[in-house]
This record gives sequence, structure tokens and C-alpha cells, in this order.
Amino acid sequence: MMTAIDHTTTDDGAGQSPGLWRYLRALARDPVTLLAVVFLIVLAISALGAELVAPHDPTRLSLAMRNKPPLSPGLLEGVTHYLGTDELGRDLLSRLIFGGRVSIAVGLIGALFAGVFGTTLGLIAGYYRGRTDDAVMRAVDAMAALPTLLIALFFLFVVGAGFWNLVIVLAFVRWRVFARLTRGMVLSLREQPYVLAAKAIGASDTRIIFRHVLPNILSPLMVLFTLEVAVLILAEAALSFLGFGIQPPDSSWGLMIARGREYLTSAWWLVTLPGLAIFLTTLGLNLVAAWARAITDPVQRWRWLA
Amino acid sequence: MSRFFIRRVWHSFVVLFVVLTFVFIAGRMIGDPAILLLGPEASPADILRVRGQMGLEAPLWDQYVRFMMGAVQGDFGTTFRYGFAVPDVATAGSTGTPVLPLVLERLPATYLLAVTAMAIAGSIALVLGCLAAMYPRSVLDRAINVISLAGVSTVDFWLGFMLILLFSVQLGWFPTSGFGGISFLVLPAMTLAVRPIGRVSQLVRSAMLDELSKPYIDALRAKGFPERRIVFRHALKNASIPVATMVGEELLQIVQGAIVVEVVFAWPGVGSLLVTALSTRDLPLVEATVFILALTAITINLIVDLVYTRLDPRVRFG
Amino acid sequence: MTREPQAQGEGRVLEVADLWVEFATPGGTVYAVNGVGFDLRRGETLAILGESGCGKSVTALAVMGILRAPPARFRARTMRLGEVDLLRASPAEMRSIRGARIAMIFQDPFMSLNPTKTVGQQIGEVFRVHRGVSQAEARRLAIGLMERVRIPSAKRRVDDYPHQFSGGMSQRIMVASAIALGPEILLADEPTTALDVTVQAQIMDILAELRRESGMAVVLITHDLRLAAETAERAAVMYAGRIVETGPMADIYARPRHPYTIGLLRSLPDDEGQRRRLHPIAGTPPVLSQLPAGCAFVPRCQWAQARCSRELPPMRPVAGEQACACHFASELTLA
Ligand SMILES: Nc1ncnc2c1ncn2[C@@H]1O[C@H](COP(=O)(O)OP(=O)(O)O)[C@@H](O)[C@H]1O
Ligand code: SF4
Ligand SMILES: [Mg+2]
Repeated sequence: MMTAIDHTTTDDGAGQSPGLWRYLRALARDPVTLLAVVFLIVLAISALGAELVAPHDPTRLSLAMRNKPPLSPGLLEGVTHYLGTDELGRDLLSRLIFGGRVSIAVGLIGALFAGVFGTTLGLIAGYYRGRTDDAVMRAVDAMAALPTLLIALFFLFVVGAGFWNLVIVLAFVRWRVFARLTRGMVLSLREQPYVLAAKAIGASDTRIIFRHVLPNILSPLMVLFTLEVAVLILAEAALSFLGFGIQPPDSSWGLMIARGREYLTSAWWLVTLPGLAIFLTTLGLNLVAAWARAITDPVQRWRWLA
Repeated sequence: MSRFFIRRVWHSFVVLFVVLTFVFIAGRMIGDPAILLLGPEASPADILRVRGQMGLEAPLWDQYVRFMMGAVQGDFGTTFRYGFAVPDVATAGSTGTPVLPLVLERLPATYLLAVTAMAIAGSIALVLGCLAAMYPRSVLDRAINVISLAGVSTVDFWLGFMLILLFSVQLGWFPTSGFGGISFLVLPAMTLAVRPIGRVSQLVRSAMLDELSKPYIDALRAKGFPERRIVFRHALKNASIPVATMVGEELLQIVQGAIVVEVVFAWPGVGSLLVTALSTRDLPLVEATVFILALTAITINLIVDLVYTRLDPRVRFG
Repeated sequence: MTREPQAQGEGRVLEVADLWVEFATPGGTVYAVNGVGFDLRRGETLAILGESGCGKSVTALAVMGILRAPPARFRARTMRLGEVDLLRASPAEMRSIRGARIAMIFQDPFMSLNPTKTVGQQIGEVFRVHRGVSQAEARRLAIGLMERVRIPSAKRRVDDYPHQFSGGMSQRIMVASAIALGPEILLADEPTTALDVTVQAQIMDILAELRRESGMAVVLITHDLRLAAETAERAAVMYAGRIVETGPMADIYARPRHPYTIGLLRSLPDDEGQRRRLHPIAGTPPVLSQLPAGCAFVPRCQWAQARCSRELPPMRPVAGEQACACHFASELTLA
């Protein structure tokens, strides 16, 4: 808690530009976030190297091995089904690893598209103001007035399901978040003395935007990106669950929940484990984003880097 | 106040108009309603006949005007197949049940669910957020932070299944799904409340921290008021102003969460109707449902804006 | 902790001895108040003088018992209000004292009012909490108080919100709620710093009038030596969290002994109010997280000797009631 007393002489201590090692040290002192980072790294490795990591072929059917609970011995390879098998006798852990690759890809690529598009529009709107700004902000407000999932569902209904359609539709419904944040930051930056000075010496707009504006808004944008990956992974799950996202024979965590639903009472792991995977992933992303936000916020960061 | 009111209502109409236009464009231009209706395997002859019946051969402008006029009068056409076992190619689009009443009939169930979830979420989040703000950086604060992040990260429909497994299948306390007395409401409302609890408690915490750091709090302490009074009668009331502006956003989130959660619990609301309509490719029903959900969202935003001006005297007079 | 003998508090409404306050911050511990002590006599006005950041507000908040801990830590040898030992009072006792027997007004009146409650509610709330009166009665009493601090058409304005008042009027409202229960002591923390000069005079007039009528003692916290000289009977000059000079205001104004006080006086414009020759004190106050072992004024003091940085100068009487914490106090003259 801060006091009402003025802070004019308070030394804001470890302020300026902490190096990488300081972040790592701060991370080491925050066990919850550290755990999240480790989990996300493991997840990234298993998604990238799914073929090497997965204990079984995720598509190998086995009628004899249908809906086996976790830790059932494997019949064919002799490798245990650590997390059991699904309704077609496929290894659940392997399917989770491959399904995760798709879920994460939707989140990352979707957020990337939304981020690039939204940030660009936000930069233009905030930097040039005027009509462009009005138009962009009208669109942002109008889209914000409607539930994201509703728009996404409607558009997927029209254009059809599938990985790329899903990614594009998700980017379409979320660009506004990046646009709003970017515009707000640019508006306050463009009046900054160093930007005005750059203008005064005749620097081109592109140069000002790329040299002076963008670098200064990068860390909030990275935090937002992390949060949006989580949002999109959740959206993918919901849309795939409803049948408008990833379609078989592809798989994703959301689709796995949808397919396991029939066996909710007889094979609990089929719904529970993919959901848990989504939950842990989004929780990890949210924890890291919260930490990154605190640590890059000039007002708060001394607390963490002291 | 009234100028603001009129301008705000006008904005809402504009958004609604844009939504309808988009729905029209998306429905008629990106996809052929006849194909949506009959499925991609339909024969060209069938498609041609249905297009004629549906007035799709008319110029686009003409169709647009008719669509908008219909929408204004609450006429979105008749359902392609809702209530029929097999789609009837011969009569599709010309006869059948009007879609709007179908949607309106489902509305109370969705509102009941959303409002219950909001009430649960609001009260729990208020307590968590206030506690966290009263003891900042304490163990309690950190624990509440992780709880709220977990709430935000929850896959709501999956949580629904987990609650069903635990409370319906294992313990038998609540029915697994359907609609009826309070017992049917408990699980879906709880499911729907978890994500808003996460978001709102963080919001309440930061708004309260902000408020509690202001000089007038010191002045109140200097008057010897009990801490409880300062926190709840003064700080919380003022913190509720920024929080209130987010209530609309949260209700929107809940409405969109309801689309999925209703499916999990077979809750007979607009959300599950929408999913049925989408899966059966019932375009008029989809359009009407999207329209009603959008209208709901826009109305929520409007009401929140107007309430906001009542809460804050500076806006009211300024 | 040792206790002072009881009898000492003759005519003294407030006694503070050896008060220390520090703040735990990431940049290190900030030693904001270091062994401050003062007495307040019944009905008098004591000025606490010093530059911004020297610990005046923190001292007042500590006396009120409303420092925010964390980040603050505080201790004191003595802190008593009449017969009450503030160091031993329970939180409930402290609450019943605050606002009733000892009240405080703040530097920024506008920020010190809750923006979403009417001024009548905010003044009346003091009666509601401390006296348990009805809402209607509280409102009536609030109007009376607003009239007492000379707010024009109080009856009409009682239901207005703070943002509808000017800074001067807001400060009157703060004063009204502070004097509501007839406190023995008013701590006024820079009550006019945020206001225009003319408004400043009005507020000071109102405070003087209330003092005459009620006989309450005032601690006037200010950085304005002239304002203090016009208002206070006694003064305590603070520098870097310590009191460096105390005594009758007139004596200090006529013949300051501490080099810092001398500097303050020199930095005033001359008596005609023309800024003829200002001599602001060169340099800046020390960083409170790295206080030197000796006198904190060394870097800015023209009389500093080697001894000054080694030894902390103790408070010693110089003449009459005047006391000063400088090794060379008795040798210095206002040059
Ligand atoms: N909450 C706080 N945290 C850290 N330092 C503080 C806090 N409050 C006050 N201080 C420091 O204590 C010192 C005294 O402050 P204050 O009493 O407000 O000075 P002033 O004499 O201007 O009223 C200042 O250096 C200030 O920075
Ligand atoms: S003790 Fe030394 S440094 Fe301090 S005020 Fe006196 S002369 Fe100056
Ligand atoms: Mg101060």
C-alpha cells in the first residue's frame, strides 16, 4: 500500500534497463511463475518434436485396447499407455501431444495474425489520427460490442470449419484488442519530446514509427500477445467442441473433449485429460503474462528486480 | 444527460444496423443459402428451384432491402427444418414456423442462467478482490491472485463436465442436465461463473488498491472512522465505478460462455438453439439467433453506460 | 522503553518524544523521521517548519496513528495526548480519539474529500460515527458547521459534491469536518499550500477565529517561514527528519541560530514583498536512505567544520527557550 505522502525524494532504485540475467534472477525467486515457464518449455518441446516424444503412434487403432484407463500395459509395443487409450484404442498421451501441437498452433498463429494486423492499424490510427483513426476505432468499438465467440461461430458457419479458416476467423475477431492497445500507447507517445524532436529534424514517419514508437510499446504488446494466445487456445477448444473448429481426422484438445464426451461416465480420462492440458497451458500463459507485465511496468518493476 | 442518452442510443442503432448488414452479406454473398440449406451434395436442379422459392434470384439490393425491412418487423423468415425430422426440399423456405418466436421462447432461460452466473461471480469476486486489496502483497493476496488466474484460464465447458462427473455422477446432488427447478440451475451457473470470478476479482483488486491509495482515505482515517466503514462505504463505492463499466463486458463474456455451457448441460436457451441451428444449417434461424444475441449484447452495453452516469456525480453533472 | 514521569505534562495537550519513522523501500530503508520530539501547550499554535520532504507530514501521520504500515515502521519513547498514552491505546481507543480529540487537515483539500459523497454527508458522517446521531440531525449539524467556516449559502450547498467547490471552499469543508467535535488539537498539514494567496489568508483567518473561540491548539505544518511567523507562537524547524531548532517563533524569526534556519530566513523576499535579493539555500537535502553519521546539513552549510561530519550535534539550549542542534550555534550570527 502506498501512502498519500509525496514521493519526490524516494529513490526508485533498480529502475533503468535490467539485463536478461536480472529477469532470470527475478524468475528464480518466483517459484509459481518458474514452474509455469518450465511447463510451457516442456510443452513447446513436445509439440515441436511430437514424433520423437510420443510413446505411441497416435493414429494406431486397436479394438482390443478401447477405453483402457491410464497406466494400462500396451499390447503391441509393450509400452505402457500412461494416460490410457481412447474409444478406438489409440494412445491418449500420444494423441494429447499431437493434439496439443494443433491447439498451440491455432493460438500462436491466430494471435500472430491478429497482432500484426491490429498493431498495424493501431499504429496508423494513433499516429495519423483523423479519419483513419475514427474509422478504425468505430470498427473496434462495434466489434467489441458483440460476443467474440458469436462472431467467430457465425463466420465459421459461413466459410466452413478447418485449421486455416479457424485461424483467420480468430484473428479477425481479436485484432481489435491489439489495435486498441497500440493506438492508446501511440497517442501518448506521439507527444513525447523525443518524438517531436525527431519530427522537427525531419525524420520520416516510417523511421519515427519503427525507431521511436514501436520499440517503446513492444513489451506491453508482448504481454498482450501472451494473453491472446491463451484466449485463442480457449476459443479453439470451444469452437472445436461445438464442431466448427478443427475437424477429424485432425485433432486438437477441444475436439478430443468433444469426442470423449460420450464416454464421460465410462472413461473419465477422455474428457478430463485434454481439458486439463488446456487449463494448464492457459494458466501457464496467464501466469507468465502477469509476471511479465509486473516486471516490465516501470511503476511496479522495482518490486521484482530489487 | 438526455443529449448523451440520445447519442448513446443512436450509436447502438448504428451498431445493430451494421450487424444486420454483415449478417446479410455473410449469409447471402459468402455462402449460397440454397447450398447451406440443401448441403453441398444437392443436385443443381434442386438448388435452382430452392433459390427461386427463397427469392434469391432477385437483385441483391432488393434482397437486402427486404431482409432489413423484415428484420425491423421481427421477420427473419421461417425455419428451414427446425422441428422437422427430415429437410423437405420441396417446401423449404416457403412454409414453416417463423424463427423469431422460436428464439424469443428460449431467451428467458439464457437470461436466467446469465444473471445467476453474474450474481454468483460478482459477489465472490467482490469479496476476493477486497480481501486482496486490503492486504496487498500478503500471502492471502498472492493466493487470490493465483485463484483468479486459474479462473481466467478455465475451460468453462470442460469444467461443466468435471462438475457433472463430481456432483451428478459421483455424489448425485444435482441432475446432469436439462431444465427445471433450482437444482438444474446450480451446475451450469457455477460453471459459467468461474471465468468471470477470475477477471472481476482482479479488477476489483486493482480498483480498490487504486482507491485505497488516494489521499481522501487518509483523511477518513484521520476522522477516526472504522476501517470497515472506510473500505466498504467509501472505497468500495468509488471502486465500483470502474468496476461497473466492466460489468457489461463481463455479461457479454457470460452470454458467449453460455453458448457452449448450454450445450454441455442441455440447457434450453438461445445458445444451444444457436448451435443446433448452425449444425443443421438453418440460415434463418441462425440469423435470428445472432440478431437476438447481438441485440442483447448491445442493450447490455447501453444500460451499463447509462448506469455509469448515475453512479458518478462527476459525470452526472459534468 | 522508559516512561517519562507523569507530572511533566503541565498544560501540555500533546507530548512527543524520540519519534522515529522509517520506510522499507526497494531502494533501501528511508529514514524519514529520526528522533523528533515536541510539546504542544493548551491553545497554542506550534509551527513545524521545513523544506518539502523533511518529514513533516510523516510526523503528523505518526501522531495521528494513521501511517500505512507496511511500508512504514515507527517507534517513539513518548506519545501522549493529555492523559492518554497513544503508544498503548488500542485501535478502538485510537479511533475514538481521532477526529474527536485530535483532528487533521491536509495539503490538498480537493483530494482529501471523497468525490462521490456530498459535502454534507462527509461532514455529517463525523457525527454519525462518533455520536451516532440520525441522518437528519447530522445534516443539520453539517449546515451549522458550514456556516461556521463561512461557506456562503450553506443550506443550499450542503447537498453539493466536492467537485462543485473551489479549492478554498473545499479546504473550509475539511476544516468544518475537522472541528466538528471540538478537538483539543488540530494538525494542519500545509493547509494553504495548494491555494491562492488571497484564499490562503481567508483560511488562516478562519483557523485563527476558531482557535480564539474554542481554544484548540494547532500544529501548523508549513514550509513558509513568513506564514509561520504570522501565525505561530512557537516553532520547530525540521531538517532531514530531525528537529534542528525550536523556540518562540518571534525569537527564531528575529534571531535564528541554526545555519539552516538562517538560510530559510535569508531566502525570504524582503519585507516589502519585493524579490530584491533572494538567497536560496544552495544544494539539496540529503537522501534519507543514506543519512550521514554527523550533521545532515554539512554539504550545504557555510560554517561546516571537520567535526560536523563526525559528530551529530545534540539539541542544546542557546538563549531563553530557544534551543538548537548545531555545534557552533552560540558562535553564529546572521551575517
Ligand atoms: N510511503 C512512503 N514510502 C517511502 N518513503 C516515504 C513514504 N512516505 C514518505 N516517504 C519519505 O519520507 C520523507 C518525508 O516525507 P514527508 O513527511 O511527506 O515530507 P514533508 O516534510 O514534505 O511533509 C520523504 O523523503 C518521503 O520521500
Ligand atoms: S553542525 Fe556544522 S554542519 Fe551542521 S549546521 Fe552546525 S555548523 Fe553547519
Ligand atoms: Mg508534506
